[in-house]
Amino acid sequence: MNYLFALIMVFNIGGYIEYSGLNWKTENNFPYTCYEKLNINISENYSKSFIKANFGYMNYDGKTRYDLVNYIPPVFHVPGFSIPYTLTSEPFLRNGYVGLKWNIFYISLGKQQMGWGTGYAYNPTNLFQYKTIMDMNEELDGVNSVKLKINFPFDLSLETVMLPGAIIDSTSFAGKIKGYFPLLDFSTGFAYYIQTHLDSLTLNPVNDRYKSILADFSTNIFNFNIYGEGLFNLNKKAPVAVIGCGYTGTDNSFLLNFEYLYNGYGAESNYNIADWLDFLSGYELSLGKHELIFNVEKSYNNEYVKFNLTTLVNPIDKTGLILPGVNINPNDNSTIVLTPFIPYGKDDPSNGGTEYTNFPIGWQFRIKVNF
Amino acid sequence: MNFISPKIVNGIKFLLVGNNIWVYFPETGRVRRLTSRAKKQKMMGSDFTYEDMEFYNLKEKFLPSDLKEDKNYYYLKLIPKSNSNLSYDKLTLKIDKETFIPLKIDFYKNGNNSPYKTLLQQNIKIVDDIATPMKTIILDNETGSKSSFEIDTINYNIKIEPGTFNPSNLQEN
Repeated sequence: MNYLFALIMVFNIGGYIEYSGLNWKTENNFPYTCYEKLNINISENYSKSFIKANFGYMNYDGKTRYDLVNYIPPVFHVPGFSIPYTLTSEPFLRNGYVGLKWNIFYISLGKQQMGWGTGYAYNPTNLFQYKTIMDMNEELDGVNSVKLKINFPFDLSLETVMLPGAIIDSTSFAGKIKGYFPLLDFSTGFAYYIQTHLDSLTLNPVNDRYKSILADFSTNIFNFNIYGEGLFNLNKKAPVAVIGCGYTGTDNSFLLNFEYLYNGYGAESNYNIADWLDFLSGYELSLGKHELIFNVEKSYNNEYVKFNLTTLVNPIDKTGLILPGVNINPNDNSTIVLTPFIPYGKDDPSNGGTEYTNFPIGWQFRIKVNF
Repeated sequence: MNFISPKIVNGIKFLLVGNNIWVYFPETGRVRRLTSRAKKQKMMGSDFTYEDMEFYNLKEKFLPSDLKEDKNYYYLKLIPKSNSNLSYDKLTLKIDKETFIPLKIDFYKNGNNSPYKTLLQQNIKIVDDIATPMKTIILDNETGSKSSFEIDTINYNIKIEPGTFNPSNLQEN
């Protein structure tokens, strides 16, 4: 206990406790899965250096053992084929890094957020952070990396990132120049990196090395925020890009957002089992080649109550997912979020299924209290 | 501007340069540009707008008229310059003759004769020979709500490195 008090005395400490419950249709019933999460944030500045960490413990209850086969179309189900997935209660370190500043140079080492890209729903240039369908967390885990940033005095910065592997062959590198101009934010860069996907025959994870050119932008035209980001994979000769448009009402209480993803790695149709597993594992941003996202948000009472409606659409197989939600802040430090998920569209077993009809209907709620 | 409380917004940072606003979100480590319209919106649900935070240099945005005075105060009307793109039609100021600090500013808009908002500057302290209001209150006269902005400590004449207000710096602690 004395160590805890010492920690509180030394560091700027905060965090939150979150309870989240999830019901979704699995194997012809609606099992309940929930977690309690204790997340502790610490940060401290010492003139030219700083530390920052987010860590804690996640405890799962209810149904914690799933079979991912239930989330892929029945056409791929064969007797005995199973992909077990267990939600394990365990401590976590989401971010933990040290940083040093010297003049215009800034270096940070450890598990940290990348924050690359301007997209809201999809960030194809955020190459190193994945999220699986079974991850009930809101946040993305940080990436173990070494970042070097040079902030030039003329609103330009150069950022380089290295993700060290056990050997140089498994190490990834990326860099970009970013400019913040009066009407335009723009960045362009290059990545030489390892990416994981599943082999379509063996279904084993395979690490391939790629070279990609990256770019993003964000600008304001009238009262619209127009943004985009993308990469061109020089090995696969394929682009992955997002373009989006956001509109904010005059009183900040109304938001409208539209985003289109072109995923050059995705399939037009005829999805195979590896496509499905890459998608469920988070190795691919989407199953299909084209994705649309609409989001409408309306808040009341100084943002204490917020209603939103998000719709994901695959325009090729004509299926989608509707996520109506409500977000309530009963006080300055607490949030309650309720999000049902409703898939729609017709399944098409002859084409390897459709993107969203196999997504289970259900709902999730979160109660989060910050301290 | 780095928010530290309430805890729900701890770590969110804003940078306002001219008509450009960037926001840093600590959860994702991402810096996002907001639309220029966001300047006219309420800052983190308070009664201050981002635009109100720029009113430290009124002569850049307004033309003065109707100067009057009594023993202790000047009274001034300010009309926005044609290119200032502000939300307000008119400001009226009550200025302390000794410190030249506007103690009260009434904001008018949409041609109304009653003020939409009222800003009060209080607890004037002299810091490094500069008169400084340590507390600013803004009253929304339409809804009756109010927000206050209090300065704990302030330093003038400090050296600011070139590039300090580069949005890229928001990502650093």
